[in-house]
Amino acid sequence: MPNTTSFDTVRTSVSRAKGLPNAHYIDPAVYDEERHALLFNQWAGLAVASEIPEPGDAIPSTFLGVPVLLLRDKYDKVRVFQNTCRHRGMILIEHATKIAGAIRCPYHSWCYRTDGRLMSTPHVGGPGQNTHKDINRSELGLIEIRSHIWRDVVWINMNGNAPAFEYAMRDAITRWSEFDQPLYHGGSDSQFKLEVNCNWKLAVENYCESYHLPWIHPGLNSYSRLEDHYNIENYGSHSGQGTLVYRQLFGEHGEKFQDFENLSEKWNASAEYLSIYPNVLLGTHRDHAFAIILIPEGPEKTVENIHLFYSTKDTNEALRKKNTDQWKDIFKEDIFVVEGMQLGRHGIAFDGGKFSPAMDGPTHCFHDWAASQIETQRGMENAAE
Amino acid sequence: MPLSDQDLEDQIIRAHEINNIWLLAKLYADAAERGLDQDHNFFLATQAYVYALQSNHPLKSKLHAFLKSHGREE
Ligand code: FES
Ligand SMILES: [Fe+2]
Repeated sequence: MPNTTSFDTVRTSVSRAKGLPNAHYIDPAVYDEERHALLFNQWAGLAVASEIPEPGDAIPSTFLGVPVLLLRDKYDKVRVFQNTCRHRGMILIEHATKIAGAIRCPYHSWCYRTDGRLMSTPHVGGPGQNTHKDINRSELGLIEIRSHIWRDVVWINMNGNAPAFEYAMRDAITRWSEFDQPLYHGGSDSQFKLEVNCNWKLAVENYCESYHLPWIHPGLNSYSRLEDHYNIENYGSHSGQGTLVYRQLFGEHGEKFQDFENLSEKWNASAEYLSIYPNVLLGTHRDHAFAIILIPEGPEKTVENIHLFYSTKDTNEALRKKNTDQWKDIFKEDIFVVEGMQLGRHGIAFDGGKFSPAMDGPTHCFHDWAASQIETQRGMENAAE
Repeated sequence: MPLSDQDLEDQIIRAHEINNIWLLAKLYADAAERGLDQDHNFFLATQAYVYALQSNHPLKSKLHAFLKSHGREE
Protein backbone atom coordinates (compact mmCIF):
# COMPACT_ATOMS: atom_id res chain seq x y z
CA MET A 1 0.00 0.00 0.00
CA PRO A 2 2.43 2.68 -1.19
CA ASN A 3 -0.05 5.43 -1.94
CA THR A 4 -0.94 7.62 0.95
CA THR A 5 -0.77 11.08 -0.56
CA SER A 6 -3.37 13.30 1.03
CA PHE A 7 -5.89 15.42 -0.81
CA ASP A 8 -7.08 17.52 2.11
CA THR A 9 -5.35 20.58 0.73
CA VAL A 10 -6.35 19.81 -2.86
CA ARG A 11 -10.09 19.37 -2.55
CA THR A 12 -11.03 22.72 -1.15
CA SER A 13 -11.77 26.10 -2.70
CA VAL A 14 -9.23 27.46 -5.15
CA SER A 15 -8.43 30.35 -2.82
CA ARG A 16 -7.29 27.91 -0.14
CA ALA A 17 -6.19 24.89 -2.15
CA LYS A 18 -2.71 23.66 -2.93
CA GLY A 19 -1.76 21.80 -6.06
CA LEU A 20 -1.28 18.02 -6.16
CA PRO A 21 1.69 16.85 -4.10
CA ASN A 22 5.03 16.23 -5.81
CA ALA A 23 4.60 12.47 -5.69
CA HIS A 24 1.89 12.75 -8.33
CA TYR A 25 4.48 13.93 -10.80
CA ILE A 26 7.60 11.97 -9.91
CA ASP A 27 6.77 8.82 -7.94
CA PRO A 28 6.45 5.61 -10.02
CA ALA A 29 4.05 4.08 -7.47
CA VAL A 30 1.68 7.02 -7.73
CA TYR A 31 2.05 7.01 -11.51
CA ASP A 32 0.91 3.42 -11.47
CA GLU A 33 -2.03 4.23 -9.23
CA GLU A 34 -3.04 7.03 -11.59
CA ARG A 35 -2.65 4.76 -14.59
CA HIS A 36 -5.82 3.04 -13.46
CA ALA A 37 -7.63 5.79 -11.60
CA LEU A 38 -7.07 8.59 -14.12
CA LEU A 39 -6.55 6.80 -17.41
CA PHE A 40 -7.85 3.22 -17.59
CA ASN A 41 -11.04 3.94 -15.66
CA GLN A 42 -11.80 6.94 -17.90
CA TRP A 43 -12.35 7.73 -21.54
CA ALA A 44 -8.78 8.49 -22.58
CA GLY A 45 -7.61 9.63 -26.00
CA LEU A 46 -5.54 7.11 -27.95
CA ALA A 47 -5.27 8.42 -31.52
CA VAL A 48 -7.37 9.97 -34.25
CA ALA A 49 -9.55 7.96 -36.61
CA SER A 50 -8.07 9.78 -39.62
CA GLU A 51 -4.86 7.86 -39.00
CA ILE A 52 -6.62 4.74 -40.25
CA PRO A 53 -8.69 6.06 -43.18
CA GLU A 54 -9.36 2.77 -44.98
CA PRO A 55 -10.70 -0.65 -44.03
CA GLY A 56 -7.80 -2.88 -43.00
CA ASP A 57 -5.58 -0.02 -41.84
CA ALA A 58 -4.03 -1.03 -38.55
CA ILE A 59 -1.70 0.75 -36.14
CA PRO A 60 -0.22 -0.98 -33.12
CA SER A 61 0.97 1.05 -30.17
CA THR A 62 1.55 0.87 -26.46
CA PHE A 63 -0.77 2.80 -24.19
CA LEU A 64 0.49 3.07 -20.61
CA GLY A 65 2.34 -0.20 -21.11
CA VAL A 66 -0.59 -2.07 -22.67
CA PRO A 67 -0.13 -3.21 -26.28
CA VAL A 68 -3.11 -2.03 -28.31
CA LEU A 69 -4.15 -2.39 -31.90
CA LEU A 70 -6.14 0.37 -33.54
CA LEU A 71 -7.78 -0.72 -36.75
CA ARG A 72 -10.59 -0.06 -39.16
CA ASP A 73 -12.43 -3.30 -39.78
CA LYS A 74 -13.64 -4.36 -43.17
CA TYR A 75 -17.10 -2.97 -42.38
CA ASP A 76 -15.50 0.46 -41.83
CA LYS A 77 -15.88 0.39 -38.06
CA VAL A 78 -12.97 1.67 -35.97
CA ARG A 79 -12.00 -0.80 -33.28
CA VAL A 80 -9.34 -1.08 -30.63
CA PHE A 81 -8.08 -4.47 -29.50
CA GLN A 82 -5.52 -5.70 -27.09
CA ASN A 83 -2.71 -6.58 -29.48
CA THR A 84 -2.21 -9.98 -27.88
CA CYS A 85 -2.97 -13.40 -29.37
CA ARG A 86 -5.42 -15.52 -27.39
CA HIS A 87 -3.20 -18.59 -27.80
CA ARG A 88 0.21 -17.99 -26.27
CA GLY A 89 0.04 -14.25 -25.93
CA MET A 90 2.20 -13.29 -28.88
CA ILE A 91 2.04 -9.69 -30.10
CA LEU A 92 -0.11 -9.88 -33.20
CA ILE A 93 0.90 -6.85 -35.23
CA GLU A 94 4.23 -5.21 -34.76
CA HIS A 95 4.19 -2.39 -37.31
CA ALA A 96 1.52 -0.23 -38.89
CA THR A 97 0.11 -2.18 -41.80
CA LYS A 98 -2.81 -2.74 -44.11
CA ILE A 99 -4.57 -6.00 -43.36
CA ALA A 100 -5.57 -7.59 -46.66
CA GLY A 101 -7.59 -10.45 -45.26
CA ALA A 102 -7.18 -11.85 -41.79
CA ILE A 103 -4.88 -10.97 -38.90
CA ARG A 104 -2.52 -13.94 -38.74
CA CYS A 105 -0.58 -14.40 -35.56
CA PRO A 106 3.09 -14.68 -36.47
CA TYR A 107 3.67 -17.50 -33.96
CA HIS A 108 1.29 -20.44 -34.67
CA SER A 109 -0.86 -18.64 -37.24
CA TRP A 110 -4.20 -18.45 -35.50
CA CYS A 111 -6.23 -16.12 -37.72
CA TYR A 112 -8.63 -13.40 -36.64
CA ARG A 113 -11.11 -11.38 -38.65
CA THR A 114 -10.70 -7.61 -38.54
CA ASP A 115 -13.75 -7.48 -36.27
CA GLY A 116 -11.85 -9.65 -33.80
CA ARG A 117 -13.52 -13.02 -34.33
CA LEU A 118 -11.20 -16.02 -34.34
CA MET A 119 -11.56 -17.68 -37.74
CA SER A 120 -8.94 -20.40 -37.91
CA THR A 121 -6.76 -22.37 -35.55
CA PRO A 122 -4.38 -24.31 -37.80
CA HIS A 123 -3.22 -27.74 -36.60
CA VAL A 124 -4.86 -27.14 -33.23
CA GLY A 125 -6.09 -30.74 -33.13
CA GLY A 126 -2.82 -32.09 -34.58
CA PRO A 127 -1.23 -31.70 -38.03
CA GLY A 128 -3.84 -30.92 -40.66
CA GLN A 129 -6.65 -30.98 -38.09
CA ASN A 130 -7.79 -27.43 -37.44
CA THR A 131 -10.51 -28.02 -34.92
CA HIS A 132 -10.67 -29.55 -31.48
CA LYS A 133 -13.60 -30.07 -29.17
CA ASP A 134 -11.95 -27.97 -26.47
CA ILE A 135 -11.23 -25.03 -28.75
CA ASN A 136 -14.34 -22.89 -28.85
CA ARG A 137 -13.57 -20.17 -31.35
CA SER A 138 -16.52 -18.03 -30.34
CA GLU A 139 -14.92 -17.58 -26.91
CA LEU A 140 -11.46 -16.83 -28.23
CA GLY A 141 -11.83 -13.67 -30.26
CA LEU A 142 -9.51 -10.74 -29.73
CA ILE A 143 -10.09 -8.80 -26.55
CA GLU A 144 -11.76 -5.60 -27.62
CA ILE A 145 -11.21 -2.37 -25.71
CA ARG A 146 -14.25 -0.16 -25.42
CA SER A 147 -13.88 2.78 -27.80
CA HIS A 148 -15.77 5.80 -29.03
CA ILE A 149 -15.08 8.47 -31.62
CA TRP A 150 -15.76 12.12 -30.96
CA ARG A 151 -14.18 14.97 -32.89
CA ASP A 152 -12.16 12.34 -34.74
CA VAL A 153 -10.42 11.35 -31.50
CA VAL A 154 -10.53 7.66 -30.67
CA TRP A 155 -11.29 7.50 -26.95
CA ILE A 156 -10.79 4.27 -25.07
CA ASN A 157 -11.98 3.01 -21.71
CA MET A 158 -9.39 0.35 -21.00
CA ASN A 159 -11.05 -1.03 -17.87
CA GLY A 160 -14.50 -1.04 -19.47
CA ASN A 161 -16.07 0.54 -16.39
CA ALA A 162 -16.73 4.17 -17.35
CA PRO A 163 -20.24 5.51 -17.95
CA ALA A 164 -21.32 5.74 -21.60
CA PHE A 165 -19.18 8.24 -23.48
CA GLU A 166 -22.08 10.55 -24.34
CA TYR A 167 -22.96 10.72 -20.68
CA ALA A 168 -19.43 11.10 -19.33
CA MET A 169 -18.66 13.87 -21.82
CA ARG A 170 -22.11 15.43 -22.01
CA ASP A 171 -21.08 18.86 -20.77
CA ALA A 172 -18.27 19.29 -23.29
CA ILE A 173 -20.40 17.83 -26.09
CA THR A 174 -23.18 20.30 -25.30
CA ARG A 175 -20.79 23.21 -24.97
CA TRP A 176 -19.48 22.62 -28.47
CA SER A 177 -22.66 21.27 -30.04
CA GLU A 178 -22.48 23.92 -32.78
CA PHE A 179 -19.26 22.29 -33.92
CA ASP A 180 -20.87 18.90 -34.11
CA GLN A 181 -20.20 18.63 -37.85
CA PRO A 182 -17.70 16.86 -40.06
CA LEU A 183 -14.03 17.51 -39.33
CA TYR A 184 -11.48 16.97 -42.08
CA HIS A 185 -7.95 16.15 -41.05
CA GLY A 186 -5.49 18.41 -42.88
CA GLY A 187 -3.29 15.41 -43.78
CA SER A 188 0.39 14.76 -43.33
CA ASP A 189 1.33 18.44 -43.06
CA SER A 190 -1.26 18.92 -40.33
CA GLN A 191 0.08 16.61 -37.71
CA PHE A 192 3.19 16.56 -35.59
CA LYS A 193 4.58 15.08 -32.45
CA LEU A 194 6.39 16.67 -29.53
CA GLU A 195 8.25 14.75 -26.85
CA VAL A 196 8.40 16.45 -23.52
CA ASN A 197 10.16 15.55 -20.29
CA CYS A 198 7.28 16.03 -17.93
CA ASN A 199 4.41 14.23 -16.32
CA TRP A 200 1.37 14.23 -18.62
CA LYS A 201 -0.68 16.19 -16.08
CA LEU A 202 1.56 19.22 -16.39
CA ALA A 203 0.72 19.41 -20.09
CA VAL A 204 -2.98 19.34 -19.19
CA GLU A 205 -2.52 22.02 -16.55
CA ASN A 206 -0.49 24.35 -18.72
CA TYR A 207 -2.96 24.02 -21.57
CA CYS A 208 -6.05 24.91 -19.58
CA GLU A 209 -4.84 28.22 -18.17
CA SER A 210 -4.41 31.59 -19.84
CA TYR A 211 -2.35 33.12 -17.03
CA HIS A 212 0.90 32.28 -18.83
CA LEU A 213 -0.02 33.70 -22.23
CA PRO A 214 1.59 37.15 -21.98
CA TRP A 215 4.85 35.67 -20.70
CA ILE A 216 5.23 32.51 -22.71
CA HIS A 217 3.43 33.48 -25.92
CA PRO A 218 4.21 37.18 -26.40
CA GLY A 219 3.50 36.74 -30.11
CA LEU A 220 -0.07 35.71 -29.39
CA ASN A 221 -0.37 38.40 -26.81
CA SER A 222 0.03 41.22 -29.28
CA TYR A 223 -3.58 40.69 -30.25
CA SER A 224 -4.78 38.50 -27.45
CA ARG A 225 -4.64 40.41 -24.20
CA LEU A 226 -5.12 38.59 -20.94
CA GLU A 227 -8.41 40.34 -20.27
CA ASP A 228 -9.75 39.04 -23.57
CA HIS A 229 -9.67 35.52 -22.14
CA TYR A 230 -12.10 33.77 -19.86
CA ASN A 231 -11.82 30.67 -17.71
CA ILE A 232 -13.86 27.53 -18.28
CA GLU A 233 -14.32 25.35 -15.23
CA ASN A 234 -16.56 22.34 -15.49
CA TYR A 235 -15.94 20.36 -12.32
CA GLY A 236 -15.70 16.64 -12.98
CA SER A 237 -14.91 16.63 -16.68
CA HIS A 238 -13.05 19.51 -18.30
CA SER A 239 -11.60 22.96 -17.94
CA GLY A 240 -9.90 25.46 -20.14
CA GLN A 241 -10.01 28.91 -21.55
CA GLY A 242 -11.75 30.93 -24.19
CA THR A 243 -10.72 34.00 -26.13
CA LEU A 244 -12.95 36.83 -27.32
CA VAL A 245 -10.55 38.10 -29.93
CA TYR A 246 -9.81 35.20 -32.26
CA ARG A 247 -8.53 36.42 -35.59
CA GLN A 248 -8.52 34.21 -38.61
CA LEU A 249 -5.34 33.40 -40.45
CA PHE A 250 -5.04 34.94 -43.92
CA GLY A 251 -2.76 33.97 -46.77
CA GLU A 252 -0.70 36.35 -48.86
CA HIS A 253 -3.59 37.02 -51.19
CA GLY A 254 -6.30 37.16 -48.58
CA GLU A 255 -7.09 33.43 -48.69
CA LYS A 256 -8.72 31.98 -45.61
CA PHE A 257 -10.18 28.72 -44.42
CA GLN A 258 -13.87 28.13 -44.82
CA ASP A 259 -15.93 28.48 -41.65
CA PHE A 260 -17.82 25.62 -40.09
CA GLU A 261 -21.47 25.86 -41.02
CA ASN A 262 -24.22 27.74 -39.24
CA LEU A 263 -22.18 28.98 -36.31
CA SER A 264 -23.77 31.59 -34.10
CA GLU A 265 -22.32 35.08 -34.09
CA LYS A 266 -20.51 34.46 -30.85
CA TRP A 267 -17.93 32.41 -32.73
CA ASN A 268 -16.98 35.21 -35.12
CA ALA A 269 -14.31 36.31 -32.69
CA SER A 270 -14.33 33.57 -30.05
CA ALA A 271 -12.31 30.41 -29.79
CA GLU A 272 -12.10 27.88 -27.00
CA TYR A 273 -9.49 25.51 -25.68
CA LEU A 274 -10.52 22.64 -23.46
CA SER A 275 -8.55 20.09 -21.50
CA ILE A 276 -10.87 17.11 -21.62
CA TYR A 277 -9.88 14.92 -18.69
CA PRO A 278 -7.78 12.94 -18.64
CA ASN A 279 -5.49 13.43 -21.62
CA VAL A 280 -7.03 15.19 -24.60
CA LEU A 281 -6.54 18.88 -25.32
CA LEU A 282 -8.96 20.30 -27.87
CA GLY A 283 -9.22 23.65 -29.56
CA THR A 284 -11.95 24.99 -31.78
CA HIS A 285 -12.29 28.11 -33.91
CA ARG A 286 -14.73 29.22 -36.59
CA ASP A 287 -12.47 27.86 -39.33
CA HIS A 288 -10.32 25.10 -37.86
CA ALA A 289 -9.86 22.84 -34.87
CA PHE A 290 -7.14 20.74 -33.34
CA ALA A 291 -6.64 17.86 -30.96
CA ILE A 292 -3.61 17.12 -28.83
CA ILE A 293 -3.48 13.61 -27.46
CA LEU A 294 -1.11 13.14 -24.56
CA ILE A 295 0.48 9.73 -24.36
CA PRO A 296 2.15 9.24 -20.97
CA GLU A 297 5.39 7.31 -21.29
CA GLY A 298 6.47 7.28 -17.67
CA PRO A 299 6.16 9.58 -14.66
CA GLU A 300 8.37 12.17 -16.30
CA LYS A 301 7.88 11.65 -20.02
CA THR A 302 5.00 12.44 -22.35
CA VAL A 303 4.44 12.35 -26.08
CA GLU A 304 2.07 14.95 -27.51
CA ASN A 305 0.41 13.98 -30.79
CA ILE A 306 -1.10 17.00 -32.49
CA HIS A 307 -3.66 16.96 -35.32
CA LEU A 308 -5.30 19.87 -37.13
CA PHE A 309 -8.74 19.78 -38.74
CA TYR A 310 -10.77 21.89 -41.14
CA SER A 311 -14.37 22.29 -42.21
CA THR A 312 -13.75 21.13 -45.77
CA LYS A 313 -11.91 18.27 -47.38
CA ASP A 314 -9.80 20.52 -49.57
CA THR A 315 -7.93 23.45 -48.14
CA ASN A 316 -5.21 25.77 -49.37
CA GLU A 317 -1.93 23.98 -48.87
CA ALA A 318 0.24 26.99 -48.15
CA LEU A 319 -2.25 28.35 -45.67
CA ARG A 320 -2.61 24.99 -44.02
CA LYS A 321 1.14 24.72 -43.58
CA LYS A 322 1.28 28.23 -42.22
CA ASN A 323 -1.36 27.32 -39.68
CA THR A 324 0.48 24.15 -38.66
CA ASP A 325 3.71 26.12 -38.26
CA GLN A 326 2.02 28.78 -36.19
CA TRP A 327 0.58 26.24 -33.76
CA LYS A 328 3.80 24.28 -33.65
CA ASP A 329 5.67 27.41 -32.61
CA ILE A 330 3.14 28.09 -29.87
CA PHE A 331 3.19 24.55 -28.51
CA LYS A 332 6.97 24.53 -28.58
CA GLU A 333 7.01 27.70 -26.52
CA ASP A 334 5.26 25.73 -23.79
CA ILE A 335 7.85 22.97 -23.60
CA PHE A 336 10.33 24.73 -21.34
CA VAL A 337 7.65 25.53 -18.79
CA VAL A 338 6.19 22.05 -18.52
CA GLU A 339 9.70 20.63 -18.30
CA GLY A 340 10.67 23.31 -15.82
CA MET A 341 7.65 22.57 -13.63
CA GLN A 342 8.62 18.90 -13.77
CA LEU A 343 12.11 19.66 -12.49
CA GLY A 344 10.62 21.99 -9.90
CA ARG A 345 8.64 19.11 -8.45
CA HIS A 346 11.85 17.47 -7.33
CA GLY A 347 12.17 20.34 -4.87
CA ILE A 348 11.34 18.30 -1.80
CA ALA A 349 9.84 21.20 0.13
CA PHE A 350 7.50 22.23 -2.68
CA ASP A 351 3.99 21.92 -1.30
CA GLY A 352 1.95 21.68 -4.50
CA GLY A 353 1.95 25.41 -4.99
CA LYS A 354 -0.29 28.36 -4.18
CA PHE A 355 -2.93 29.10 -6.80
CA SER A 356 -4.00 32.46 -8.09
CA PRO A 357 -7.69 32.43 -7.12
CA ALA A 358 -8.49 34.55 -10.16
CA MET A 359 -6.35 32.84 -12.79
CA ASP A 360 -5.76 29.23 -11.72
CA GLY A 361 -9.32 27.98 -11.42
CA PRO A 362 -9.06 25.71 -14.47
CA THR A 363 -5.94 24.03 -13.07
CA HIS A 364 -7.56 23.58 -9.68
CA CYS A 365 -10.61 22.12 -11.40
CA PHE A 366 -8.37 19.46 -12.96
CA HIS A 367 -6.69 18.67 -9.64
CA ASP A 368 -10.05 18.37 -7.95
CA TRP A 369 -11.13 15.87 -10.58
CA ALA A 370 -7.87 13.92 -10.34
CA ALA A 371 -8.05 13.76 -6.55
CA SER A 372 -11.69 12.65 -6.62
CA GLN A 373 -10.96 9.86 -9.09
CA ILE A 374 -8.00 8.61 -7.06
CA GLU A 375 -10.06 8.76 -3.88
CA THR A 376 -12.81 6.76 -5.55
CA GLN A 377 -10.34 4.11 -6.56
CA ARG A 378 -8.75 3.95 -3.11
CA GLY A 379 -12.21 3.64 -1.63
CA MET A 380 -12.97 0.68 -3.84
CA GLU A 381 -9.68 -0.97 -2.95
CA ASN A 382 -10.31 -0.52 0.73
CA ALA A 383 -13.81 -1.89 0.39
CA ALA A 384 -12.40 -4.96 -1.33
CA GLU A 385 -9.87 -5.65 1.41
CA MET B 1 6.32 -29.80 -67.69
CA PRO B 2 5.20 -30.47 -64.10
CA LEU B 3 7.51 -29.43 -61.34
CA SER B 4 9.21 -32.07 -59.30
CA ASP B 5 8.40 -31.86 -55.58
CA GLN B 6 11.91 -30.58 -54.96
CA ASP B 7 11.24 -27.63 -57.26
CA LEU B 8 8.04 -26.87 -55.42
CA GLU B 9 9.73 -27.11 -52.06
CA ASP B 10 12.44 -24.72 -53.22
CA GLN B 11 9.82 -22.29 -54.43
CA ILE B 12 8.04 -22.46 -51.11
CA ILE B 13 11.24 -21.80 -49.22
CA ARG B 14 11.98 -18.84 -51.45
CA ALA B 15 8.47 -17.47 -50.96
CA HIS B 16 8.97 -17.76 -47.19
CA GLU B 17 12.26 -15.92 -47.49
CA ILE B 18 10.66 -12.96 -49.24
CA ASN B 19 7.53 -13.29 -47.12
CA ASN B 20 5.23 -13.35 -50.14
CA ILE B 21 2.00 -14.45 -48.50
CA TRP B 22 -0.07 -14.43 -51.66
CA LEU B 23 2.42 -16.71 -53.38
CA LEU B 24 2.64 -18.99 -50.35
CA ALA B 25 -1.10 -19.53 -50.49
CA LYS B 26 -0.83 -20.59 -54.11
CA LEU B 27 2.26 -22.78 -53.70
CA TYR B 28 0.96 -24.62 -50.65
CA ALA B 29 -2.35 -25.15 -52.43
CA ASP B 30 -0.45 -26.72 -55.31
CA ALA B 31 1.53 -28.83 -52.89
CA ALA B 32 -1.66 -29.99 -51.18
CA GLU B 33 -2.62 -31.76 -54.37
CA ARG B 34 0.43 -33.96 -54.27
CA GLY B 35 1.46 -34.56 -50.69
CA LEU B 36 2.95 -37.82 -49.49
CA ASP B 37 -0.43 -39.07 -48.35
CA GLN B 38 -3.83 -37.71 -47.52
CA ASP B 39 -2.84 -36.50 -44.04
CA HIS B 40 0.05 -34.66 -45.57
CA ASN B 41 -2.37 -33.04 -48.03
CA PHE B 42 -4.49 -31.80 -45.13
CA PHE B 43 -1.41 -30.36 -43.52
CA LEU B 44 -0.40 -28.55 -46.70
CA ALA B 45 -3.95 -27.40 -47.41
CA THR B 46 -4.06 -25.92 -43.92
CA GLN B 47 -0.88 -23.98 -44.60
CA ALA B 48 -2.37 -22.76 -47.86
CA TYR B 49 -5.65 -21.86 -46.20
CA VAL B 50 -4.02 -19.75 -43.52
CA TYR B 51 -1.95 -17.79 -46.02
CA ALA B 52 -5.02 -17.40 -48.22
CA LEU B 53 -6.95 -15.99 -45.28
CA GLN B 54 -4.16 -13.56 -44.50
CA SER B 55 -3.76 -12.34 -48.07
CA ASN B 56 -7.44 -12.59 -48.99
CA HIS B 57 -6.51 -14.97 -51.81
CA PRO B 58 -9.48 -16.30 -53.80
CA LEU B 59 -8.31 -19.87 -53.09
CA LYS B 60 -9.51 -19.48 -49.51
CA SER B 61 -13.08 -20.61 -50.27
CA LYS B 62 -11.99 -23.72 -52.09
CA LEU B 63 -9.47 -24.63 -49.40
CA HIS B 64 -12.02 -24.04 -46.69
CA ALA B 65 -14.55 -26.25 -48.46
CA PHE B 66 -11.96 -28.98 -48.91
CA LEU B 67 -10.86 -28.97 -45.27
CA LYS B 68 -14.36 -28.70 -43.95
CA SER B 69 -15.68 -31.55 -46.06
CA HIS B 70 -13.08 -33.77 -44.43
CA GLY B 71 -13.85 -32.59 -40.91
CA ARG B 72 -10.65 -30.59 -40.71
CA GLU B 73 -12.07 -27.12 -40.41
CA GLU B 74 -15.20 -25.47 -39.03
S1 FES C 1 0.60 -17.34 -29.91
FE1 FES C 1 -0.68 -16.71 -31.51
S2 FES C 1 -1.03 -18.55 -32.55
FE2 FES C 1 0.19 -19.18 -30.93
FE1 LIG D 1 0.72 27.81 -23.77
